[in-house]
Parts: sequence; C-alpha cells; structure tokens
Amino acid sequence: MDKKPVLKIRGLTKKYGDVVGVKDLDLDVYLGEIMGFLGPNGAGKTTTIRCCLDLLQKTDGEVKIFGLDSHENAIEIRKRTGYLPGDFGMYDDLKVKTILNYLLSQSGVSDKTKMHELSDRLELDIGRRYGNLSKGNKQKVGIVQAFMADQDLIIMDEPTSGLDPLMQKKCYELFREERDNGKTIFMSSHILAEVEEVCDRVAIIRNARLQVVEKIDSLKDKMGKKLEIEFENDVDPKLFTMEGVEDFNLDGRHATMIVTSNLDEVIKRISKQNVMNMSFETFSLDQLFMTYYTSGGKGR
Amino acid sequence: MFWKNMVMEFQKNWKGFLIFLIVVITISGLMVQLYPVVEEEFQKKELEGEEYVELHIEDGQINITWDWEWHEITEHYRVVHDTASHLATSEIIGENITEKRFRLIHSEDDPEERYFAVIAVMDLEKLEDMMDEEEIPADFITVFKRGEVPVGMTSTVEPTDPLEEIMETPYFRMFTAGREDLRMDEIEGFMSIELYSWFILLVGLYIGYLAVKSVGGDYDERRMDIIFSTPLPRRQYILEKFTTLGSFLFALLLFSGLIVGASVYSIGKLNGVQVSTFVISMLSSWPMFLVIISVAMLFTVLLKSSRKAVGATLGFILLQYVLHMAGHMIEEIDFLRMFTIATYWDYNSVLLDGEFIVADFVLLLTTAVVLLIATISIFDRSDIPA
Ligand SMILES: Nc1ncnc2c1ncn2[C@@H]1O[C@H](COP(=O)(O)OP(=O)(O)OP(=O)(O)O)[C@@H](O)[C@H]1O
Ligand SMILES: [Mg+2]
Repeated sequence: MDKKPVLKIRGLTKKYGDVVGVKDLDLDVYLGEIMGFLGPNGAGKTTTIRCCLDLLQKTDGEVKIFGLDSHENAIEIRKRTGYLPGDFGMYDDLKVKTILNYLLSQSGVSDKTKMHELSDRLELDIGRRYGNLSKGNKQKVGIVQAFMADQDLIIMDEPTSGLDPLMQKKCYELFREERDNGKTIFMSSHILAEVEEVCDRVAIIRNARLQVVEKIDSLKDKMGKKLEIEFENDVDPKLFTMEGVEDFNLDGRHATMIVTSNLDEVIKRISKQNVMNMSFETFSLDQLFMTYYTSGGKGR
Repeated sequence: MFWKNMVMEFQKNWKGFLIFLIVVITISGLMVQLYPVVEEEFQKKELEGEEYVELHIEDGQINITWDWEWHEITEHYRVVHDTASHLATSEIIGENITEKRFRLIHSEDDPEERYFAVIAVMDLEKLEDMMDEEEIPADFITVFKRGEVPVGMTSTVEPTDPLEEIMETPYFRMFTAGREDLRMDEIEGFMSIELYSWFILLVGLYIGYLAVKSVGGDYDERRMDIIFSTPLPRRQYILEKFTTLGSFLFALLLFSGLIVGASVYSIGKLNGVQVSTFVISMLSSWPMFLVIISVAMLFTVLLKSSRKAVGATLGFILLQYVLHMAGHMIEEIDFLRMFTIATYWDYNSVLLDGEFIVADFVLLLTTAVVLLIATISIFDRSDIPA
C-alpha cells in the first residue's frame, strides 16, 4: 500500500471547558484505505472528526488533510472531502431531491449521475419530503450526500446507525467499492463487528485517548469469538480444556467460552455431543478491551 | 455561487415572507383609510356663520352685533340664545337694527357659556323672486319656511381645537417624536403618528425574529454540519443570510410606501404631497432594520440557539422602543435617545419637511455593517455545537 497519509493528525487535543473531548491524538489515514475509528460512547470519536473538518476549533495539535492545514485551508479541503455527520438535520419542508441538488451545487458539481445511482442503490426515494422520511431513510440521505460529489476523502461518523442489517450490508459493499475506486475512507463506529467487516485498519479510542492502531487482520488474531452452546446431555468440562479456549464456563448444560484459536478442533469436539442450540459471535467492544487490558495491551 | 444560499433561503421562507408582506401592506393601507374619520374628528368646531356675528362683553353686558349683505331685503332679525342654565329664548328685534344687548349672568371674568344665533326674517316676495332666478346666495346656511334665514352664530366660549389639547400632553409627545408642528389632522402628521411611530415594532420584531431563525434554525435543526461539509465559507454563509433578509426587507418597505401613497391618493387626500414622499420615508428606515438584522445574527452566533437569541433580540428592540418613547416624554433621560436606532430614522423630516437626512442613513448603515463584521468574525472562529 502506498504509505501516503491523506489525513494526518498530530497531538490533537480538544477541551470543552473542563471536559476533555480528545487528548493528544496521533493518527494517519493512508490513501485508498478504509480506516475504522472505534470507541465506546463518549470516547471522543465525534470530537476528533469534527476537529478535522474545522467545525470545532482545536485546543492544541495539528491536522493535515491532503497536506493542507485543516483550519487555514478548510475550504480547499472541503472541496475534496465528503462528510456524513453523526447527528444531522436537513430542511424538513423540502424534497430530498431539492436538498441534494443544492448541496451538490454548493460543492461545485453539476453531474447528478452518482447522486441518482446511489439513491437507487440504497433504495431511497428522493422525490419525498425530507421531513416525512423515517430515521433510516434520513440516514441514507446522509450517506448519499457524502458520496455523491465523488470526492477523494470520505469522513463518516457512525454511518450505518439506524439502518437495518440488510441495508448495513449494502453500505459496507458500497464503502469497499469506493475504496477499490481509490477513495480514502475514515469512519467511526462503536461496533467491532462492523469495523471488522468493512475496514482495512482500525484505530481504537477510549476515554479521549487513542489506544491502538492495528490492521484488521492482526486484530482478528487478537480477538476471540464468543461461543455459547446448549447441550442436550451433561458434558465433561474437561473436554474443552485445551489451547485457544478461555473463560470456559459450564452452567448445567449451558456452556460459554471464548475461542481465540484452534477453532477447528473446538468445533470437532462439540460435534461429538448433541447440540440443542448454539451461537457464535464476534467480541463486543467491551470484551475486546477486556482482552487488551488483561493481557497488557498485547492481546491474548 | 453567492446566490445559491439566497435561493435556498427564499425557498425555505417564502411563505412566511409572503404572509408578513401581506400583513404589513394591509396595515399600512388600512391606517390611511382611517384618516378621513380622524380628520373630521379633529376639525376645529366652528360655529356656522360666525363671520357675520360678533360678540363683545362690556359693562356687564353682552353685546351682539351682526352685519351681512342681505340687510336690504330683511324685514327684521330674530336673536335666539341658549345658555347652560336657561332654556332658549327668542326675541324679535325691529328692522334695521343690527345690535342686541344681553345681561351677563355671571361675572365678567367668568361669563356663563352662552350661544347666540341671529336669524333674518326676510321679505318673502323678494326672497321668492330671487329663488325663482335660482340665485340663492351661497352664504345662506339654509332657508326656512316663511323666509327665515339663519345669519350666523356666536358664543361666549372660545372655539377650541381638540387636537391641540391632546398634543400638548407629554404622552402625546412620544408619538410626535418631539415635533410640535406635526398635525394629526393632516395626512403626513396622521401617518407619522398612526403608522411610522410604531413601525419599528411592526416590522422590527418580525424581521429580528426572521434573522435569528435564519441562522438559529440551522443550529436548532442540526444542519450546520451538513451545510459546512460543502466548501461554503462561513463568512459567505452569514453574508448571504443577511443579503436575503436585507433584500426582502427592502421590497417590504418599498411596497408599504407605495401602498400608503396609493391609499392616500385613493381617498383623495394627497393634497400636494408626493407618493414618493411616503416611499422615501419608508425606505429611509431600511438601514435601521438592517441594524436589527445584524444584532439578531450577532446574538444568534453568540448564544448558538434561536430560543435564547429570539429573547435577546426582542428584548433589544423593545428596550430601544421604550427608551426612544420615554426620551421624548421625560426630559431628564432624553439624552438616552442618542443610543437608540429609532432616533436616526427621522421619518418626520421626510414627511413634514421633505428632507431626507443622508448622515443618519449612513450612520445606521455603518452600524449595521460593523455589527455584521463582528458577527462574521465571531462565527468564523466559534465551535459549531454538534
Ligand atoms: N459540546 C460539548 N460540551 C462539553 N462536552 C462535550 C461536548 N461535546 C462532547 N463533549 C464530551 O466530549 C467527550 C467526547 O464526546 P464525543 O461526542 O466525541 O464522543 P463519541 O465518541 O462520538 O461518542 P458517541 O459514540 O456517543 O457518539 C464526551 O465526554 C462528551 O461528553
Ligand atoms: Mg459520536
């Protein structure tokens, strides 16, 4: 990958009076990658993003986008950057079409092809009045407007919030496609599974501070999957005392465990039993943090 | 790309603009229609034919004398008099006498209110001859049966001007903006008091509200992030909002001025005043309202919420108005008017003197621009709340 940072953050600090929104954050987002920005509520994701877009004045630090200063060259940057805010409103009385056309023309783009393509793809009826749309459809309007001007960098704050799982999948596809077409994407999320599915790299923020920046592939190694099984008969707990299984817990016939490796062997052992029910999920963010903290930040 | 936001502003607000335009125009027009009623009300109460009859008080007596053109064909006169305490009495006086004395009932300094009417009883034949030839003189008030024609009336009571009495009260000075030559029974004076004196409230409160909403609405409804994701400079954003309201305001004032002028014309009371006088007097308020727009926007970017900013702006306008009014009424605080914008919109000098004060206009315009620059520089470096 071309190691040219499109977005470069150094020592970013933002204080709201006494409240620290983000503290001393360094981050690079490279050309043509999808960088996930992961953190629990109140971690400082929105603060960071809005500092980058010059909506907030930095308390300290430096942000460069396309090598330009985020404050001094804000207009130049916004010509090349699409943005989906985490929480936004539009003109309730106007048709979506009118609003999108207005935003597009403000960006100096006259070609509406992409706007229509995106709306069709996300099944958004742009003939309707914005105020009458459901929450999810409003979010789609946000996504369409972020991508429609075909800009180089797309910054999104929790882009899939309010969308149904099917639509979320469509969005992930869209994001990946855009990346493959050379776009750089920086998106925040508080859902680990989402970041895992769509991002190339992830930056994890917590309590206003950056915790780690990692490739998704190596993150996957570090994080386990939570396995929950309901057996028909009693099982011997010793069966699962093995490498790659942690936190094994048996309550009657109900077992929970964290599988970090050796998945194939685990499955084989389970299959020898009669299974009533089973669920297998990605770590929640909390569990990921637990893993990081109990292992001194190195995972496992 | 300057016009794009303006188009958007009009697209968003045209209904409100239109309704308010209609309201202001209607009020302006209706005020003019009230004038004929008021004009009549404030007319000096003259006694009919008082120019022919004179009254002197002398040696405890009231001396009535009269003189008119038709003495030759008058057989004799009759004087009717009426007091507050007596019933009317009538006396017949022989021909050729044009004088009658009455006893004063009260002291000379304080004569009782009395009204006298002199009636000529004319030679019926000569009168009928005249009437056949349709030559009834214009100064005949009326012709009663048997050839009686009222000559005129007089009274011990000085004729009063109901308007002058009102105008001398301090309360009224608030509305005349200190102009003593302003007359409410003249159309310019009437409009000055009935429309212009509170026009700052009528238009100012709403335009202030609109100005707050135009920026504050984007805060309240969380549109700022979307708006500023486009390469729109914050400076231009404020300027476009200002220009939109400023041009709407200009149209509003122009229409109100035209409607006032046209209404005055329609009731036939233009009497030498030009329609343009009303238009110019209205338009001269433009920079004053621009100051209100700037103040409203300044409050909005400072408070970042339209609810608070509307309160501050309406408070500002009302305080200005009260200070301005009170300054005219109470001399000790008159100097405070210096700090009110209404002082620099001198519609009376346009209406009454036909003089448009350029210095005031420029001063207000400069104030509006300075406040606008302050607004922009604050907005430029302020956080946009999420
Ligand atoms: N305008 C503000 N004034 C004061 N504190 C604020 C303001 N905005 C954010 N904060 C604080 O800054 C911290 C970071 O908030 P931020 O909105 O960036 O979090 P986030 O990661 O986006 O969270 P979420 O997932 O809930 O959107 C929080 O503690 C929040 O309370
Ligand atoms: Mg957020």
